[in-house]
Amino acid sequence: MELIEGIPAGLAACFVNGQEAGVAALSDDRIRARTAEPVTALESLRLYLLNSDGATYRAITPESARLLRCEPWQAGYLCDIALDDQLWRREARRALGDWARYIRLKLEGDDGALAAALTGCPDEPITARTLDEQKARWFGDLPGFDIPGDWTLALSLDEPEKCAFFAGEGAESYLSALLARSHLAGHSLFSRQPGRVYVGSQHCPELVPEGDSLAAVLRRAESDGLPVTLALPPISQARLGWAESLMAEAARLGAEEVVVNDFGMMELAVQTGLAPVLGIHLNRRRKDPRVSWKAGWSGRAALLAENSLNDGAFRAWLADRGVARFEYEACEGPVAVAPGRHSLHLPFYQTNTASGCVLAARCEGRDPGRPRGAEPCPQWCRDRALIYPDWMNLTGRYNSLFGLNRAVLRDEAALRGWLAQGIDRLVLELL
Amino acid sequence: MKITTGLGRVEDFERYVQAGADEVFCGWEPFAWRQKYGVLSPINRREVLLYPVQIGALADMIILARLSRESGVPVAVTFNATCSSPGQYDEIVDMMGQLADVGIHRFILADPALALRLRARGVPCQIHLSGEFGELNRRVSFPRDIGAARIIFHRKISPPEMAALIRANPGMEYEAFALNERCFYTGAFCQSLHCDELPHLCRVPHRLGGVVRPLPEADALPPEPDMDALGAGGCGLCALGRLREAGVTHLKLVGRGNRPERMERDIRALRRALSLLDRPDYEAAMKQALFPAGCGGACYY
Repeated sequence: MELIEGIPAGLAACFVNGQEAGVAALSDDRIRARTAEPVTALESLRLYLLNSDGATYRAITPESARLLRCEPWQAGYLCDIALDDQLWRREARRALGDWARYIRLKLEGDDGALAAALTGCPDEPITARTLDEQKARWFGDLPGFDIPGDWTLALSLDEPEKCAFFAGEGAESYLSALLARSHLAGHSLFSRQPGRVYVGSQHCPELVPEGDSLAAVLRRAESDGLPVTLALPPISQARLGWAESLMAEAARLGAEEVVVNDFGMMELAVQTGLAPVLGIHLNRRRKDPRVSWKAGWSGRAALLAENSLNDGAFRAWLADRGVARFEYEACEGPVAVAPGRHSLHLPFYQTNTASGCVLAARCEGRDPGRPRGAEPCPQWCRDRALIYPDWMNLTGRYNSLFGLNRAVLRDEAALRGWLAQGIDRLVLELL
Repeated sequence: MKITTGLGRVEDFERYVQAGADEVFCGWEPFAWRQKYGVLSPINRREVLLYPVQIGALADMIILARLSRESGVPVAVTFNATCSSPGQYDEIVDMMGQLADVGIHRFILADPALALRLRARGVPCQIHLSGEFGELNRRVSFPRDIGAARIIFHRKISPPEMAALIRANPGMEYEAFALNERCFYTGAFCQSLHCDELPHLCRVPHRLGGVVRPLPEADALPPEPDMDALGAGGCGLCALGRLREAGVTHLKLVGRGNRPERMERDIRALRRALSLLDRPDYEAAMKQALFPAGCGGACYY
C-alpha cells in the first residue's frame, strides 16, 4: 500500500519515544512521523487509530517497528518507520477505508444520507406544513403529570400578540389559551396558578414590548399579583440606547428582575435597580436535538453536564456583579445545575440565534447570511416558521432555531431531577 | 491592515506566508484531550476528526513556533470553545503554559471563565477575545477588565458599530472577518453540533411553513452557490475601506480545514485587494481585478 498523506490529526496519533509526534503519512506497513527533534533510535512506538465508531481509538504497540530514516523537514524532522504487525495492517486498512468512505459520502453531497449512513439516524422527509401540526404530533399524546412542591410556574410573553392577550385577558386566560393552542390543555403540570411573568425575548429585540404595550403588560401583571421579569436579548452596540431606555422604563413600571444576555446589560441592570439574571445565551452548553445520535454520546454524555457556571470562581465573579440566578433550558442530556436557586425554560430550548433574521431572509428570498438593512421588521414570525422533519424535534421560530425536549413533559422523573437540583421556577416556552 | 489566516496543518504554514499572510491562527488539540473528551467537548470551535483542522502533536506546535520565529509571522492558538467544565479550565491553562514554554503566547478565547482562570494563573500571554465571546456593546467592560490585546468582532457587527466599540476599548488591536464562513447564525449564540457525521443545523433542509395556517405558496430552498468561488462563503472585500476607517487592524481569513490551494488563493486575493485600497475607485478596481465575471454577493457587511 502506498503511503497516504494528509492524514487528519483526528484519524491517527503516534508517540515516538514517549512524545506525541505528528502523523505526516501512513500505510499498512509504514508510518511517517513528524518530530521536533531528530530521532536516532526508536526506543518505543505507540500508535492510535480512530475506531469505526468515530469516537474512540484503538491503541497498537507494533510487534516490529524499524526506524528507516529521520531527515530534517522545515523546522522539524520526518521519520519513516517500517511496521510489521498484523493488527496494524488490519486496522490501518480499516481506518483508511472508513476515512475514504466518509470522503465519498461527503462528495455525494447528501448530508442526510451521510448522517443516516454514519449514525443510523432517520432520513425522513418533512411532512408537516405548520408548526401547529407538529405540536399536535409532539404533544398530543403526552400523558400529564403534576409535581407538587415549592416551585413557581412562570409565563413567557415573548411575542407582541402574547403581550396584548395577557394585558387584555390576564394570566389565567392567557395560560389556558396558550396550552390549548399548543395541544397541552390536559397536562396537569400547568394546572397551578402562574406565579411570575417574563416579558420580552431573550433572542430578538423586535419581540420586546415597549411604550404603551410594556406599560399595559406591567399593569396587568400588577393587578394579577405577578412579579415581572424583563427578558432581553443580547444587545448590540446599535441597540444600546434602546435597551438602556427600556430597562429604565421597566424598572419604573415595577419590574424587579431583568434577564440579561450580554455583559454590558449585566452591569447596567444594577444601575437601574433591576436584579440581573443570567440569560440562556450566557449559560452556554452544547445543545442539539440530534445529540443522542452523535458518535460517542453514550459514553461521554456526562461531559456536557457541567459548564462555566459550575466553576466557583466564575460564579463569584458573577455574584460580584449582582447575578445569583441563572436561566437554564431543558436541553438533551444530563445537566449539573449550579448551586443556588435557578430557572428552567421548557420544553423548547434555543440552539441557534441570528442577529439578523434567517426566517425573514427565507420569507423575502434573501441570502440569510447577508446583513439586513435598517428597514422595519415586517414580523414574518407572526404567522411563519421554519419546519423540519418531525423526528428531529426542531423548529425555526423568530430569529432562532429551537430544539424540543419532550421527555421533560412526558417523564415525571426527568423533571423531578431538575427540581431536585435547585430549579425553583419553570418558565413555559411554547413558541 | 494585516491578514490573519486560519491554519489547519503545520505543512501549510510556509505556503500561506509566501502567499502574503501576516499572521496565522490554529487550533491545537493533543491526543490526550481527544482521547479523554472526544469532540463532544471540543477545545475550540472545530468538532471534526476526519479533515485536517487541528494540529495534534506538541511536536507540531514546536515546529510551528520555530517557523514563526524564523519568518517573523506570529501564531495565535485558539481555545475558543464557548464553555468548558470546571475541571477542564486548569487542563486548558496547563496546555497554554506548554505553548508559552515553546514560544507561543497568543491565545484566542471565548469563554469568560477561561479568560479569568488564565489571568488568575498568571500565564504570560496575549488574550485575543474571540467573536464567539458574545455580544459586544460599549458597556461591556470585559475586554478592558482582562487586559485583552485584541478584540475579534463577530460576523454580525457593522463597521459603524466596530468604530464605536474601538473608541470604547482603546489601545488594542481589532480584528474583523474578511473572507469565508459567513454563518447564517451568530457564532456566540450557536451551540449546535458541527461534527463529521451530522450536518450543521443551519444547513439541514427545511420548509417555510405556517405557524397555524399552511402557506398557500410552494416553497423551495434557494440554490446553493458555487462554494469554491472566491468569496462565495462570505466576503468583506468591498468593505475594507470602511473597516480601516473604523479602526480595524487585522482582517480574518477563515479557513482551518479548507483546501490549502483555496486558502492560498484567498490570501493572495485579499493581499491584492489591500494593494488597491488607497485608490479612489477602490471597489471598482478590486472587482475588476478579482471578480471580472461578477461576485457572488455573499457580503459580510
